[in-house]
Amino acid sequence: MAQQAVTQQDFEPRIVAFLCHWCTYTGADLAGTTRQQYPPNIRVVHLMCSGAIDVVYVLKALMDGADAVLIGGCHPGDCHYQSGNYKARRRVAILRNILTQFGVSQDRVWLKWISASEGRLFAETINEMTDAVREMGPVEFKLGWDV
Amino acid sequence: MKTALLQTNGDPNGALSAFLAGMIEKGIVDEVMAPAAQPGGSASMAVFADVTEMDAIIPWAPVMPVQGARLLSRLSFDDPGMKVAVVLRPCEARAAIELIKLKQILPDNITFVTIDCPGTCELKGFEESGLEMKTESNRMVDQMEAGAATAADGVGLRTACTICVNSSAHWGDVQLHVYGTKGSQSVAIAASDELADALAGAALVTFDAEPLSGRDAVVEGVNKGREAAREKVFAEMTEDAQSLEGLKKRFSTCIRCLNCMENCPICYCKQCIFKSTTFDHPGSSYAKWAMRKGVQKMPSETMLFHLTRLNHMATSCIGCGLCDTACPMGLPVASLFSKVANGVQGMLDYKAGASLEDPIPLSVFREDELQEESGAEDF
Amino acid sequence: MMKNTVLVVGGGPAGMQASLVMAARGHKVVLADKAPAAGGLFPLLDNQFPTQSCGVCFMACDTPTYCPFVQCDLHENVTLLPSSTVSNVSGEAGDFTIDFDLKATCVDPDKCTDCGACEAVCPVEVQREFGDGLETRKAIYRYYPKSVGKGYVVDRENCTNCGECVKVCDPDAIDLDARDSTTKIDAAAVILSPGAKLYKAGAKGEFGFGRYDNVLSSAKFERMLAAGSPTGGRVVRPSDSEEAKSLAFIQCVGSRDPANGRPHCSSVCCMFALKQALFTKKRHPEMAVTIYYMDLRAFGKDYENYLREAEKAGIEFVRAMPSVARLNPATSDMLLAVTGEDGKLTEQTHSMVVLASGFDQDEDTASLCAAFGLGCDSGGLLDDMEFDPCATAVPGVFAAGAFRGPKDIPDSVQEGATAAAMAAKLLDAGEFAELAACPTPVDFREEAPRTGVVLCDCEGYNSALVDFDALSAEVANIADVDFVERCSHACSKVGMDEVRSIFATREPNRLVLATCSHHIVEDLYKHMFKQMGVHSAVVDIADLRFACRSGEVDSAKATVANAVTSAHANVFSPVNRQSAQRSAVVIGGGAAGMSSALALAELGHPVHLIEKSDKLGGNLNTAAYTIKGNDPRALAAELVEKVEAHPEITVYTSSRVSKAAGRIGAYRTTVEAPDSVVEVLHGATLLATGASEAEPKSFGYGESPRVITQKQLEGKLASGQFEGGNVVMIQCVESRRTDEGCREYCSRVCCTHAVKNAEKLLELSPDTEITVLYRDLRTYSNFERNYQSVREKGVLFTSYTLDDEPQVDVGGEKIKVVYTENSINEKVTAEVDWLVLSVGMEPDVADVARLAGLFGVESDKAGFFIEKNPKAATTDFAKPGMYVAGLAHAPKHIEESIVQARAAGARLAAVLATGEVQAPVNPSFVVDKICSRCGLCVDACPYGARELDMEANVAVVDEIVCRACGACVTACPNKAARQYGSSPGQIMAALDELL
Repeated sequence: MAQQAVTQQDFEPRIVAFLCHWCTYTGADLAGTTRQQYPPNIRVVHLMCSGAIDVVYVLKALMDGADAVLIGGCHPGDCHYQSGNYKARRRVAILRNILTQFGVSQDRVWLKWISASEGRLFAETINEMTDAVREMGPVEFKLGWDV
Repeated sequence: MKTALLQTNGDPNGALSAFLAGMIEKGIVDEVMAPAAQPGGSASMAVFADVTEMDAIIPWAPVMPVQGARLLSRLSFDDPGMKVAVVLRPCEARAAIELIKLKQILPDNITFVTIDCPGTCELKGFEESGLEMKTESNRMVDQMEAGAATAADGVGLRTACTICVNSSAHWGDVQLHVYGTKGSQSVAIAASDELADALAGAALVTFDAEPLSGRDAVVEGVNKGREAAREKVFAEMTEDAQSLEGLKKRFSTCIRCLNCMENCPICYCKQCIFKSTTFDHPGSSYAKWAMRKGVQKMPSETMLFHLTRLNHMATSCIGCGLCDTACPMGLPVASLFSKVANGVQGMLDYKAGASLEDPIPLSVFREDELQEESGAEDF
Repeated sequence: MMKNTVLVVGGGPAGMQASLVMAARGHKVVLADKAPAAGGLFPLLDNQFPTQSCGVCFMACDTPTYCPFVQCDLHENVTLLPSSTVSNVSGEAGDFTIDFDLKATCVDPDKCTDCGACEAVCPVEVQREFGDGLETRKAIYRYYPKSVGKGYVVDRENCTNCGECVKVCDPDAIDLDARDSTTKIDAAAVILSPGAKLYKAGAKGEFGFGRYDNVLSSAKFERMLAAGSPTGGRVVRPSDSEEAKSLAFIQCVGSRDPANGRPHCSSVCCMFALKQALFTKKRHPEMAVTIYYMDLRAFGKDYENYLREAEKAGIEFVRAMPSVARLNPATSDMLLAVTGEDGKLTEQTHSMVVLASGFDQDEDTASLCAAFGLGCDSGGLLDDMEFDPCATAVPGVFAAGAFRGPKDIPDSVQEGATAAAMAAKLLDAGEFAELAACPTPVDFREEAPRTGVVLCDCEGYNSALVDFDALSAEVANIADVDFVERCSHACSKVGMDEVRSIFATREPNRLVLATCSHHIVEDLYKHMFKQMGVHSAVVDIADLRFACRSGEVDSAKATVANAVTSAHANVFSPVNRQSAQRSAVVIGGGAAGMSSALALAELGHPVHLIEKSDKLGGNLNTAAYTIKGNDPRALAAELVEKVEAHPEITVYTSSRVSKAAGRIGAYRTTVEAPDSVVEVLHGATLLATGASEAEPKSFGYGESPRVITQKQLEGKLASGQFEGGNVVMIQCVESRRTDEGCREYCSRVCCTHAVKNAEKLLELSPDTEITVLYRDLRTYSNFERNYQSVREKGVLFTSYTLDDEPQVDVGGEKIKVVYTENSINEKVTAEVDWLVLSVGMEPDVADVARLAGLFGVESDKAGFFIEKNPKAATTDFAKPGMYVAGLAHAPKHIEESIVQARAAGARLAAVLATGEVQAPVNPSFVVDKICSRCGLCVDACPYGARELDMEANVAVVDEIVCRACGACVTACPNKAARQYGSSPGQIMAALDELL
């Protein structure tokens, strides 16, 4: 769909979620099996660890179609690879800082700690995020093809 | 550190090149790497083994064609096999500190000679001015007795230099201090105790002087003025980046040549990922993207390149501004990037190039940090 | 008959750990629990102290894994037996038969899809036991609200049999007429780990739990703090749902209460109160939080720091035991009658009160004990064996966890592993039949990709949500897809056979299973392909069920296309399986070192035991007696004899390790013995380097021969050289303080040693006047009984603070000790014959740092080694193949050292059980040509799998150590660090399919 056709009214956010295998992905699965309600705007990339999230993929997603990116990892202290989530937190903080300084809202990138048992939190996060992104409108990169 | 005063007899650059030659002659080092006038014109870094050629050295050369730390990394990525003294400006020294931490410079056989820096001019502009390099350099050094050096009218300092708040030597085995002294008369040499003893033993200089008493005040004055200039430039960049649209306007002439990366001392990768097959997409991809988005810019992924590069180097950016020099379109790459880097380093409480002790931010983490900044608040 | 089955009764931390260790060693485990789901009290805890996180996943012997609840469920060697109670036991060690009563749950777990429709229609609502009634549940419910697996059960006591649930259950999983049944389990050994229950706070009527809404039990409050609780983790008053203004904790409710038949200390309540208080403060910084306590027993590793954090966070600590709580009806606030240390009674108002109710044993545990011929009381199992911990009076029956006495999770987990090590000796060798049978895999690396897709309908679930025919057609159109097949239930046996035959007939070399979640399918199929002799990386999972929930064919197709693109571009790693040395090096020949060496040797692992002194035994050689009345020197003699006699153990005394290299399965360690230098090849390393009593620097020690340490007193008392006279003991000498030269930590054992020596003094001379000056008396667990007993016998205990420390004058004939007597709030001077100092333990910091450097592990500034996880993996280092036990880990009693040592041995043996080590399916590697040797990947690797080769100027990977987390790849700016299965181009292309 060409971007000029995108208006606030018919804007359906596209969210790409990078989820760590052990915690958030399991939590997402639990959200499904326990029939938690959340909108269909999310597409999942399965990663072994949030520490494996590379900003280049987050940026690529934001520039090529996603209006926001969710990165889900284990709670602090619970990373199954000892410290991947702490590393992710640094990288995401840096990314958000840079995005803001480029005139792109840092809230295009969400980092959330969601454990395997927090299906409800996963659903709530997707709900909250979809609403927030709908409010923000299409990602800044979509407003003009010259990126 | 011990301090010596070196008489310069009106030619600080000449006096120092003689001093450096002396270091080779007395066997303190085997070679010297320093900026020098090229026989055919202009200047470049060169590694000198032959002392008879060393009068070409201009430690305070008013141009910086390529970042010295980047070049030093060529020399000392692995052991050069002999002792080399390397003359670096503060921004080069700061980059060297980052590169030592990133193991791109193995410092064991390197003697770091750092200078109080008058700043540099754009290479092209300086060449076109027809000024004689050493004379102009000596003139600028002399100005530093009382404050910031200025470039000749019509040439001007590089933007990065006009907003540089780190122009004094802060680290190194030998530091050449000219802030607060009349460079045409004498230059202060501050050396580590060990090296000072060696230099004195070789009868090159006598370490009997006190540190320059007026230097700190002069440096402070210089920094104050530069700080204000920097604020102004950063504010301009912030204004541009109010929205992505504003920024794009400013950067619309980027041709994605990747020169900014090629000239960046912190971009140390043997092969940038943006020059790798990862970004050699099949033709069908471009066609598909155009279909999906309506329009696909070619060359693609310009903004992705800049943003990714920033994510890689902002933590270590030392603001030397050579990306500006490298940009064929004259985009204010350095102003924007050093502003962004400043924000990132501030968030991480890290000052690139300040010390060998602070670990590279991307190699460490703390268990309790950046909750708000990352958006991941733990309940 | 094969004797390869062990029965574990009780599925809390100890039972789960025992099960996982046994299962990893190739034994069959039946894990029984009286509850409908395993977990014990653990699922109540969102976070643990002192980590402020969960971390239970580290309990597995080799990580990463799922959390143990899931792992026990998934492991092919573990059979869960929920809702079961032991009714009869017959047979003997090596050949038990145990009868079980099975309570009908009325829900068939094989049919239940966990959809929750039944719960929605059930009209019955009762208080949920889990969380002590903070919320309600239905008569058909999930036992744990946050349980990960399938968990629906019917509570038949409250069920009205209305049948509404049966009507809405699509898969027909509910049978309300199901009857209770019985079963028999044959097992060669039994591990009892029934845990403890939480004391019923309502039984202490004076605090009004059950009568007043705003008085909560610790369990109820713990539930309130959980993120998934009805309050969402906020601290609000049940009476009016308003945020509490002030919160009070009353400690020792149902603990340290002999009059109430609970003489034990529950060991954990001080710490969980601190945890709950800290979380409360974090979420409600304005709320006033007060803890009323008798002694703050923060005795575990790093707990003292936690206590300091709590003090810093502004939590108020009041040393007083409130006697009664009454309600202010106007405000619903609680009024507590508090008698301070000065004896004055005041009334304090708090808007909410939490009763720190501790551990208790119930009738079920008593009858379980009785069935096995054992006894227990409120403090747990009777007749426990100090020097053979986890054994019981009945051969072949072992005990672990809070059932052996109140204890915290790390100790329970260790005991679980210890019990496993002991039980394993009665079993035949574990079986790894599948492993041996696995043919060398075909790895397709030379072939062009042929990619097939299997779309699973999940028994109609997916096709009910999206048009499956349309989806099939779309998927067939994806470039790179060679064929599409459909199946209806890929995770069933039938489904797996179908996939196997599709693989055989269509001959793909990339197979995308578009099924449900990775968790359910991945392990099943990786295992299946491994057995078939096919590289496991041949399978890629697309989570079709997740995508179908969007209801959009587009989304479902995108998810499949994502996996197809990734699979098509996948480059396989060469399979890397290597035989591993089964032997271990154990460094340190004290109680821990010898115990672990024996545990390992008895499980068939050769051990090199290295001791730096000329004699084995360590601290045992200089100790005289324990509080339980046993003789450490006799233990030393026994252990030394066994160690020296064991053919699998080689002892090196007066020896030190000078070099170490290699990795799990293949370490090379150089041992410098007096007459030789030996290089030892071994599979794993266990550090048990110990610690010893520190030398005091204050209170006149060294100035007067009558100022001695507890250990010196013990020696005098045991050898009959004690000259008699009155005694003052000072606790926490140079411990628990941050001043220069002091130990910041609590040494855990000193309070018990003081009580032990006081007992001995009174035994020798009942008239001895003994005064103990302490800060917090930390006689945890059943040591509390000894404390109460010496108090009753007249030993005076008076607390002091760091602001008002005892003053000592050793110049005169008698030693003068000036201190504040709290009961009269006045300075008194005691003139005594002996001043005994409790000084705590200290490791050899320099040697620890040296060893840490040699082996690539970490130690803290005090000189204790840093374990992988302070709760669930206290015997392991993060680096694979490295283990720790005993005082080298933290101060502890001899019995606890033996437990940890055996546990470390068990976990080490579990990891080396198969005699081989294996790289992960997708290990990381280096593209040498573009590697800049910057070392960021080395810093990023949490396992030490990478190092820099300064000759070749590249980073190198040890695939065996790699755990495939991808941290190195992310750290590498230009992707010279890579991982098989996910090249940057592959990820980018796959990602593009989702956009």
